Amino acid sequence: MVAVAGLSAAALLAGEFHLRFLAEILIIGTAVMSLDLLVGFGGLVSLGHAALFGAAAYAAAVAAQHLGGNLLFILGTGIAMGAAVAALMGAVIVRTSSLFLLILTLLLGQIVWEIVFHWRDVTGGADGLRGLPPLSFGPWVLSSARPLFLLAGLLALAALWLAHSFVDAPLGRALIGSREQPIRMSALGYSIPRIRFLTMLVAGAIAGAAGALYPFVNLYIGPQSVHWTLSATMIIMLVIGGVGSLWGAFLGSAVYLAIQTYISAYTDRWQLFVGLIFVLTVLLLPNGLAGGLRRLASRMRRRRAQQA
Amino acid sequence: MSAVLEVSGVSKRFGAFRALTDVTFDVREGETLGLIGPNGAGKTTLFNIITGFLRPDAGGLHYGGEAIDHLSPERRVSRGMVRTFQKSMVFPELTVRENIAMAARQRAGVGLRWGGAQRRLGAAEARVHQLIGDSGLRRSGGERMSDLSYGEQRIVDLLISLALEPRLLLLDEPTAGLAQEEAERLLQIVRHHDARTSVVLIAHDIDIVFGACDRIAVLNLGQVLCCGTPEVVRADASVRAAYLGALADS
Repeated sequence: MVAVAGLSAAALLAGEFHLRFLAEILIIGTAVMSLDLLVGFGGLVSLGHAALFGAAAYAAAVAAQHLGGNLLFILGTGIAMGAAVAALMGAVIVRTSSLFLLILTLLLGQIVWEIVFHWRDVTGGADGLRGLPPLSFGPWVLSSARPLFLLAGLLALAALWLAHSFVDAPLGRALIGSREQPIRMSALGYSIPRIRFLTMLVAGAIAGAAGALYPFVNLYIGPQSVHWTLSATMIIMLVIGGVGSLWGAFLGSAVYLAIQTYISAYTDRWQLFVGLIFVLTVLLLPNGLAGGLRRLASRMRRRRAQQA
Repeated sequence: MSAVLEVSGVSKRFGAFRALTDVTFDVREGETLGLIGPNGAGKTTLFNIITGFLRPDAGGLHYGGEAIDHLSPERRVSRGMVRTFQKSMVFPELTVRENIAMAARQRAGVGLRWGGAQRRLGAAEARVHQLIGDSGLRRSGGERMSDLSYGEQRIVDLLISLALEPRLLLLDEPTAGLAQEEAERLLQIVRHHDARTSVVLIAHDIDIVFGACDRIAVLNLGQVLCCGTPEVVRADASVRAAYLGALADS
């Protein structure tokens, strides 16, 4: 309810620049939330998540260049690409954990980056792709900021709902079990690799859906979107927002992108501020902004109950 | 009585250390077999081999008359072979109900579902309620595992295994660290669960093993010293020398 009201208010009040900025937060936030399924619920810290997101973004951009910007087709392309890269990555990583998982996802992600960076004919290499046709849905052309923002909002809400339903379902419970007691899960007859693979597919599909919309916010996509540094940025966003909360991913990406956008206007050293906030979060709010807000809300509820 | 599990000539080495040497015994349908022996005798290694977590260097296993050496731990579980671990292996962040449901759903074949199968999920939920009710745990099931006492955690640990409706239940020191009364209650839950279930029980408490088991196998330095009824084992000279000693006379 609060999220829907916030999105509606922003759509009515914000200007062109801010709407595009908010759309970017929602899209990146959706990708970070899909990473939360892996990190927060499966304990699988991946440094290759940008590869799923970015590969889907490129697939959507290339598809739009050749076949037009039909929204459902573009979304489908992104979801398929995200899930396909996730399946490849998943097949390799399902039997690993901790440091090996981190390194393997980093390497696999960089393979995707290499392909994007060197396949100039299709991806535009270092220059990326510009001049994309706008998205369309039936007779409507979704080129201005407001419909793009609303689209990003709908995507974020749908993805959040999907992620919650995943976590609450037996499969999501089994994922938590595989994080907490992998040996016991095997002794209960669960296949840990299968749980991890299925989770990778779901996370890849959600990241892919977000990636599909990403190029159309600024009608540009560049190789930075598949680089491992974006994967690391996603982890930073997730920690700031709150690992394991799902909705905190949106807070984390809002904080990060706000610093990147506004503080970088004053200084090149904006990443210093990100670092500072990251350290403060880890020290003061180990469950991130989402955890802090939740604690604040329960404290206020308790105080109100005492007064009543 | 036919044998549910036959262990024949199983050996296992870890480097130069011979953990198990030519171990042979069987577990019969519906019986409780005690597995005793000093620390390091190879009891847990044997459990790991039976359940497929380790592969034997020599020898083989038959379960329900069928060779199972090639089966993964998961496949063995799906055939009704269920184990617990020396230390309690519950899911501390989940509730009591969710802990047991993790096993009940897997038993109902819906462990990895996402949507649908409402009827089977409902049946699994009902089974969880029944297990909690029958156990005598005075808990609603909504409590987080980490809020329970150690004894209660061990009972839930057992209920998780029982939710899989085992045909062969392998209990690795389920009563360690429990008071006498708690330990007896735990074993009572096992026995009342299903008379057809065969149980292999590792325990260090001799009174419990001799009181609760139909037969006892004694393991020492990776070898079976003796396997038979409590009376036979108590009277066996090699067992008295290696393990029981004066305990047997008391």
